[in-house]
Amino acid sequence: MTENAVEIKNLSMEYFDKERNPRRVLDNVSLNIRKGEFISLLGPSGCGKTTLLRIIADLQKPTSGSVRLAGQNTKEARLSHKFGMVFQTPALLEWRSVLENVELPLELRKVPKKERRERALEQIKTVDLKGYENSYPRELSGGMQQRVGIARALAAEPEILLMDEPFSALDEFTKERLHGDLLRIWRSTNKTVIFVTHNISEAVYLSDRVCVLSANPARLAAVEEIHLPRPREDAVLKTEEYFKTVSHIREIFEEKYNENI
Amino acid sequence: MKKDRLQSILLPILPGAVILVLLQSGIIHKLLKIKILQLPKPMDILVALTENLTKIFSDAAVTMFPAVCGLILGALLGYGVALLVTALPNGGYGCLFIITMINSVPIAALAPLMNRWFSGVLAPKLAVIIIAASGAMAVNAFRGLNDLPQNVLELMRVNAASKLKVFTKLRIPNSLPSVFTALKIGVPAAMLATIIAEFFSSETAGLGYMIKYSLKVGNQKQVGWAYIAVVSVFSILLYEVICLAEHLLLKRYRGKRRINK
Ligand SMILES: Nc1ncnc2c1ncn2[C@@H]1O[C@H](COP(=O)(O)OP(=O)(O)OP(=O)(O)O)[C@@H](O)[C@H]1O
Ligand SMILES: [Mg+2]
Repeated sequence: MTENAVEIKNLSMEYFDKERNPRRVLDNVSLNIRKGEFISLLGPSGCGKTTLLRIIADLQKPTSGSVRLAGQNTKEARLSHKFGMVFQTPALLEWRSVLENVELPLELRKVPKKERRERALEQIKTVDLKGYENSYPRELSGGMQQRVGIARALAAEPEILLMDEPFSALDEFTKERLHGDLLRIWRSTNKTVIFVTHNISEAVYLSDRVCVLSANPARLAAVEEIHLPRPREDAVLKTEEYFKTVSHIREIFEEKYNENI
Repeated sequence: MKKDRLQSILLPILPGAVILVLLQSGIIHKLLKIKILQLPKPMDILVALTENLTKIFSDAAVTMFPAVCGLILGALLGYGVALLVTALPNGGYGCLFIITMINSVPIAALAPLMNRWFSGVLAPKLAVIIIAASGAMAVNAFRGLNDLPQNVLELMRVNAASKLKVFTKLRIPNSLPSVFTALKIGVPAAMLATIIAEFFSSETAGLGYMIKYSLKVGNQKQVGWAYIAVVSVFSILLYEVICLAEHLLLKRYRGKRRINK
């Protein structure tokens, strides 16, 4: 029995539109995420993935249901720095250099200056931005800015890493390299990663489990264990089992869509 | 390169020089049917300026000291209000409303009023300038303190930043460009306020007083114009000092915004 890092119980979220009619975005989602697990939330655009992640991160309150992280509620977990987050957009401070941006969460955790610098430099190297430490965000391309956001989340070394489509703005080459880096970091630090994506093959390649969300409202349509071998190398991408898993998940989506029509 | 530089110096100077020559030769006076008494020739103004140089400098000191102090105090007051309004959004908006309301009272009405409120010659003058300079600062600083992308605020929240840290790490640095914008708007406002306050003051020194006095006296018109020229020069100097400070202090903020927020 492994301990659960995140327990999501009967979670529902309703937004109100202009006429004050409730619109259900998440419907009764329940999910246990194991400690050290790499789990993906997969679903089409607008289905509620960011909403779910934001509820876990205590950035918004659900309409009903609960989320607990290692026995704490979301607010307690946030205040005790249990998780870090990579946003869908880079969210950088433009007056801070790359290095200073990556150091920000460490400053807020009161990490001593010297250690802060070392950890930040190391993660800057991980995302392949060595040489850009003193550049300002405006001097970087969109993909480079996104990588700064990733380095920033990694530098804080949170137990749980929440990632909201971190790679969807990147080109194939950078994306593949960062996939490898992310898996390597995940393996060596034993983090729990909750990874939001709308890309089926990305979800399959990275995850232990893929949660397929249906749209309008988002329900947990299926939770698929991915049995591809670890550590995953690029070679996995060419195996038959990989293709099978990807098409299996694609079928689940097609089924869901036909149901909705 | 060198030619560009020469052009950028000559182009603004040339039209000014032409106008001065036209004024000196009396052509403009003839064209617009203005009497020499109404608008003395540039050379006469220059002579008046050199003949009265010591007196003019002592008057400039009388004026510029409260102008600069008032600008600084007004800026501090405006920034303080902006901080307060941001920290206490519920009670604070009233403050911002009041300061913009006071700011919209014409200075010509404010100056005699302040003469009744405060005794002496310095205090009423300062009060007028502070009011004139604080409005632009309050409004601009408030914008700088609050005009933040949602995801950057959420980044601070995810990292459990206290309200104070959100101010020191995020809001205040984000407001610095607006502070300089407000100071630049404040210079002409403060100068105008000082001169008008001096029109209404019981003091018999200062640039404002001397403009009023000299323009009234028959054979002193060119002296009045010399004072007007001095006011412009000091106004421009003060503005340039602020531009220089901005250039030196806000290096990090320079360059085109090209950031995916
Ligand atoms: N603050 C809000 N008020 C009202 N409706 C909202 C709000 N935030 C999100 N929604 C709605 O909730 C739904 C889910 O939004 P969410 O951002 O979670 O989608 P997503 O799955 O992350 O999509 P994407 O892949 O495009 O990022 C959308 O239909 C959106 O219109
Ligand atoms: Mg999203």
